[in-house]
Amino acid sequence: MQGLPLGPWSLAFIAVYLLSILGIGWFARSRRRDDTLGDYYLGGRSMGLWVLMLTLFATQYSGNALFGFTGQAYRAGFTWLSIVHSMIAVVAGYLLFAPQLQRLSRAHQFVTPSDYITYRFPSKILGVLVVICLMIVLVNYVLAQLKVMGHVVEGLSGGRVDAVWGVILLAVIMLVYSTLGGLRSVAWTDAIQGAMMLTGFALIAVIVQRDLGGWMVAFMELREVAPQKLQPPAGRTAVTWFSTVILIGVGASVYPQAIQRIYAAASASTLQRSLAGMAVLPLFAVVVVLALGFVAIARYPGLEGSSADQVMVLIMRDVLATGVLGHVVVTLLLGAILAALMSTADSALLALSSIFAKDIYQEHLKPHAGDRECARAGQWLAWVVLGVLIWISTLEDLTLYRLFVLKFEILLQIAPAFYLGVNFPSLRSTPILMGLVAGLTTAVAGWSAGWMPLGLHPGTLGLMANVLTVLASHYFLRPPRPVMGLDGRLK
Amino acid sequence: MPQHLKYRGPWLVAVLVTLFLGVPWYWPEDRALEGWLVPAWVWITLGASVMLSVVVVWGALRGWPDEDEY
Repeated sequence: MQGLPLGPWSLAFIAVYLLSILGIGWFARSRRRDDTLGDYYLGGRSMGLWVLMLTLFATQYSGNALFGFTGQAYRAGFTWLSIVHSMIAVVAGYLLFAPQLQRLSRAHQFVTPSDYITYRFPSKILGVLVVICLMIVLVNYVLAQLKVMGHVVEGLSGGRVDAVWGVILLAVIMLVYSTLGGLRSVAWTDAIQGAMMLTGFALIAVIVQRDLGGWMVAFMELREVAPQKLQPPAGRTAVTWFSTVILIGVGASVYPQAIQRIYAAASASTLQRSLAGMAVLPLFAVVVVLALGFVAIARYPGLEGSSADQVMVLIMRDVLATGVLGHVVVTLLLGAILAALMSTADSALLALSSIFAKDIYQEHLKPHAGDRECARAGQWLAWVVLGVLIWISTLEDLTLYRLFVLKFEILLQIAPAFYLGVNFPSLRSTPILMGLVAGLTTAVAGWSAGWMPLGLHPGTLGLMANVLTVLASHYFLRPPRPVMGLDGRLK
Repeated sequence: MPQHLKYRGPWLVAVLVTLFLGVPWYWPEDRALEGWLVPAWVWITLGASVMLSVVVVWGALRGWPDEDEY
């Protein structure tokens, strides 16, 4: 990330913000009611409307939304409008299973996503496979955020602070407040981040119009400089568009951390209204982010590959030069970007910690351990995993978008267990397990070989294989019906 | 079919229709139709996004299954 010439006030604001979220961690700790896993990992199942809506928003709009989405808009042009549809489709996806899942989670005190899976489909192999998939996805998710965190701190300091030290600094802050307050502190910091991000987007839209030549001029320049970026998708690209909507719409709705927020809603009505609000936010948030990427095509030509992920930084540099309001907006946005990265990473890390505590430690390693001990084990795991990931984040060299896609390839394969599980009571464990295996095999093989037949993502192909296998095995591998024997007994 | 899915059938159809409308796979070959500022297909796609958003909000507020429907 290139350096931004920030003034001392901007840096002071960011320092105060980082310190204040530590304070939120302390405050959240003081609000805990008991030592149960439900209180620590689900905030006592008492999340209200605004916190729930903003934490769902913050969890889904991470570093990818700010850097990856603008970068992809720059690279792909207007065909990336598919992401607006995709983000609304996520909420449509929730509506197909969240109402029933929230009710079940209350009745059976679910803490992790696999609690539901093992309740609904009592198969040990399926439970273990789901836990492995979730852990891979969450580790991947945290890694993607760490990579961006390093670049952001390096850029903020103008290269004076190395990316690795930047990651360590933010990771330690994140671990401290999430260890202190669990989901309460994570959700509260998410809510602040969501509000900052929305305000920053609104203000940057105003500044582009007022100080950077205006949106109309920018789009006219774009038409002259790169008319090919305004072409509609044709053939294969249109299929990829559909595939993206399925990949993100279905995959993101079963994010482990999002499932836990469904469990954490104070009531069905709170969840209902939060999801209604979530369906409107992409029309503003995603459209502004994409518009910035489109404007950048004409303004900063020649960026290729992963360097296009830097267009947001270039825009912020220009906004900074516009004066005091520009400084305020960039400071706010940088705070929001840091918060976005941290909140997404902390949510994923907390979900990872809960899965280890509940599904591995309490289930397999120490079945008689109390909730307090399990939570402690989960916290230790979070610290260890984060240490390893910080090291890995300095080695990998993938663009943000590639990291973003990989987790969906796996997540999509877990979706049928939720979507079909809550809606079709007669569905048994074996078809879901066979579908998961078929889907994972297809998706991972396709991803490693780089297949995109007809423009379909490997994850979408995997989902098709998954659902077809579930349906085929459900209808053709029914257990034999009991028949009455000559002795009058069922056989 | 479970009762609550029957009730939400029209909603699901509306979601799928707006999703299909949002992908301009139907756009003519010559692609000459221009709109204000950007080509017309962009406005149609954004319009479909607005429609999808409205349908989803409606689904959340009016189509939430009652407890006895599970």
